[in-house]
Amino acid sequence: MKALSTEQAEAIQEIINIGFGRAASAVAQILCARLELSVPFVATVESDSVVEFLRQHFQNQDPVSLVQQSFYGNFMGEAALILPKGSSQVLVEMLSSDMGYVPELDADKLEQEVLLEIGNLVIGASLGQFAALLQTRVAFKPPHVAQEMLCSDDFQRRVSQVKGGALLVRTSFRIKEKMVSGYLFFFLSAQCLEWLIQAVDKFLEEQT
Amino acid sequence: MTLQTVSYTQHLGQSQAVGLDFEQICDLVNYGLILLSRDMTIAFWNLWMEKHSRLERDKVLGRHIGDIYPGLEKKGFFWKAQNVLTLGNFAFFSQQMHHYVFPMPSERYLSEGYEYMQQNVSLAPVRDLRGQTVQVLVTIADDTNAAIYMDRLEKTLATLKESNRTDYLTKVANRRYLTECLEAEIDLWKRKKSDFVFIILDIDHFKAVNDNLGHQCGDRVLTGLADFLRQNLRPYDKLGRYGGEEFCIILPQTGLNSGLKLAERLRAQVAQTSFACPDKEQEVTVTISMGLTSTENVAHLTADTVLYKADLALYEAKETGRNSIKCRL
Repeated sequence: MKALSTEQAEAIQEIINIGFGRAASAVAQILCARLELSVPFVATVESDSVVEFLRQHFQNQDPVSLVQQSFYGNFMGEAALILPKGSSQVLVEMLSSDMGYVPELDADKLEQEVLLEIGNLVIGASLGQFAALLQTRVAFKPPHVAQEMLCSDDFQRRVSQVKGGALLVRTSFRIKEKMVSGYLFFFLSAQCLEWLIQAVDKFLEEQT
Repeated sequence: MTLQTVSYTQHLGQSQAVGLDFEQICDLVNYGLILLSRDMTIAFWNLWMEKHSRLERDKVLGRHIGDIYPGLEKKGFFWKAQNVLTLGNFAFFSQQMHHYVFPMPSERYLSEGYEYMQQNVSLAPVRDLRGQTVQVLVTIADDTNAAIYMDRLEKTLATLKESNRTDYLTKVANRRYLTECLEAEIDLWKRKKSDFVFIILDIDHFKAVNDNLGHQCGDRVLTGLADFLRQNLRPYDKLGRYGGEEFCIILPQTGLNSGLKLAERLRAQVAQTSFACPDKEQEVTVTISMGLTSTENVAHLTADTVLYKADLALYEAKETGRNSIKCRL
C-alpha cells in the first residue's frame, strides 16, 4: 500500500481531531458523561501491526470486547471499538441509570446490546463528523460485537487475512466519569486513499 | 402522494433540490419503509408495510408511531430514534438481540416458524438542505428465514456437542467429557477448596456374563447399571463410562464420610438388582467393586493423581474379594 507523506498524515490527523472534538460534545449529551478522544495517530499499516499493538496494550485483560462496524461512501472501511473485559457491566449501569435506556432483554443480551449501542454511537459520531468536514456522508452497516482472545492464533489469522493494508486511525477514548477506556480504530480501504487525499487538500485550501 | 426528496452534491454550500417521485420505487422494494417526522408521526408508509402490518397507509399517516405499536418504548425505539435526530447517526435493532421491533404475523404455511416476523431494523437520518436531520427513515427487513436456519444450526450443533460427550451405549458421559468434568472440579477445588469424592467402579466377573449369556446380555447389564446409577445419584453428580465395564462417579461438594456412605448404598443396592437379558427368560445379578478417593486434607491435586488413587483402591477391592469398597487418600 502507498504510504502517506508526513504532511498528508498530519492533515488527516488534524481533520479527524476536529471531528472528534465535535463528536465528543455531541455524544456527551447522550451519555450524560464526558467522552474524551485523544489526538489520533494516523498511518498506513498492515493488519499484523494492529494485532501486536492490541496485545501490548491489553496484556492480561483477555478477552476484550470488540465492536466492529463497516461503513461506506466516498471513503469506506471498518471501524473497531475495543474495550477491556468488565466494561460492559459498567456501561449497562450507565445506560440504564443515567440515560433511561432499558430495553427488555435477558441479562447476557443486554450487555451485548449496550456494547453495540456505545460502539455505534462513538463510531457513528466520530466518522460522521469527519465525513461532514470533508463535505461528504457515510452510511453504516449494523455493528457486531464479539469477545476476542487477542492472544489466540485464531484472532491473528482472521485479522491477517485482510490483505492490502489500510489507513489506520487510532485513538484512545475515555468516558470520564465512568472510568471506561479503550481504543478506537478506523481501517480505511486503500482504494479510497486517493479520494481522501484530494478531499483533505481541498479542506485545507478552504481553511487558508 | 409524491414523495419529495433532495439529492446532495459533495458541496454542502450548494444544494440542489430535485423533485423525484420515489413512491413507486419505495413500493417496489422488499423492505418495510417508514418515514418519521421529528415528533415521531408517520410521514410515509410503503406498500410492504401496508401488506405486512395490515394497516393501510391512509389510516396511519400523520399518527404517532407509538399509538400504532405501543411496545416500541420497551424496545428502546424512541431512545434510539432521538439519537438519530440529535447526532445524525444510524441506529440498529438486530434480530439476534431483539427478534422483532414491529409485531407482524409471520405468515408461513409450509414450514415451522415464529409467531411474529423476525426483523432486522435500521434507523437512518434524513437531512434537509442545510444538512440538519429532520426525519428518521426506518427500514425493516424480514429475517425470518435466516432465524429459522440459525435455530436449526444451533440445534444440530447442540446435538453434535451432546453426542461428542455421550457414551453411545449407556448414554452417560463418555471418557473425554468425564475427564473435562474432573478437571473442572479440580479447578473449583483450587479456587474455592470445594471438596469432592471420586469413585471408579467395575462390574465383577463381567467377562463371564458376555461369555455365558452373550454380548447383548452384557450390553443390557451395562445400560441397566448406568440407568440405576443415574437414578440414584444427585442431579449435580457426574456419571461417566470410563471403559468397557468401568464407570466413574464425581460427587461434588462431598466429604469423605458422605461419599463412603453413598458408595456403600449403591454397592448394596446393585447386588440386589436384577437385569433382564433380551430374548432370554432369565435375569442377571452382578456385583460391583469400587475404588474411592477424596480431596479432604489434600495439599495438591491433579486429574492424574485422583485417577491413580481411585484406581489403586479399585485394585485393592478386587484383590480382597470383590463386591466391596476400598479407599485411598
